[in-house]
Amino acid sequence: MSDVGGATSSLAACRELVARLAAALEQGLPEAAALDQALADVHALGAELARARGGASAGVTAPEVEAARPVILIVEDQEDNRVIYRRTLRKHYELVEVEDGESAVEQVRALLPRLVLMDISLPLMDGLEATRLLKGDAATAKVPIVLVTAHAMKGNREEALASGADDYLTKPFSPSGLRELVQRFIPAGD
Amino acid sequence: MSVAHPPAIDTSYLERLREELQDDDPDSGDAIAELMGLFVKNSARLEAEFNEALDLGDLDALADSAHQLVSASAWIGALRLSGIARLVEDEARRGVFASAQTAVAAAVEEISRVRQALERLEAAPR
Repeated sequence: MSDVGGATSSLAACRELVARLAAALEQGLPEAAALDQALADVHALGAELARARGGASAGVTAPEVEAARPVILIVEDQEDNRVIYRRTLRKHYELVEVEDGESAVEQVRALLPRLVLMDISLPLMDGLEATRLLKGDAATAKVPIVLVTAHAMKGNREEALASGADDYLTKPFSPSGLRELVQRFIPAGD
Repeated sequence: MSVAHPPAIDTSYLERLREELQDDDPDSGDAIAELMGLFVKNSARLEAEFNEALDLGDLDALADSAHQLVSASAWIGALRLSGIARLVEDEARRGVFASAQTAVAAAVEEISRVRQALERLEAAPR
């Protein structure tokens, strides 16, 4: 669950950024300068934490703070499927992983990722219900959601799209097919 | 008359998957070996879940376990097993216990074939 920890760290970084921004504004800096100052502070903090924890992959890291890469939320409870997502996407995207629908709703609200890849069959809350909740909330309605299932039964696609999902994917998919799908939602260089 | 089954593992599918995954991240080890290891671990759990679900007559639980096996087997090129797992899931969702039970027996037999094939693949020089 280290990736969930990563998401928590991102949240912590966001909170820290907001706090630093408020402090810089209180110092009387113009908004743009205050934001630059706060980003620099949090960047330095992230690097310091990463060093303290013994590696770049631990805790708050500069890439997370800078959000240089688009964030994709992976909602999948099966490790083998997560392996495929990681191997296919981690080179170009910041991946945050959760294993159930309730956590997915929380993370979408917290992170507003560029894309959600969500299995339909999930513990606690299935992907269809999570999608309906997120699409029914003005704050998260615009986050694209692709629902994924291992067994395309008749009517699954229609049910998925009726929930408000932006697309539907059947496992097993090819890594190149997954990359193409992701690029439709997150164009290169975007 | 015996029926000739197709190979338990479609190695050409596996090789295509290996190339696509390694192409993206050449320094991260063999993705296929990782998936095979996960299959061995998960298939033992799923087999136990099948038997427990049948003992309890819990066809919803059986369908959920079969659903996991559909993709777990497909990722390692065990396409026949993936098809049988789909059949188990379909029959369980239809609520037909006898045909679900028959499909589970076929799945358990095929899981054994797949494990043997994986052992041969691991032992073979690459």
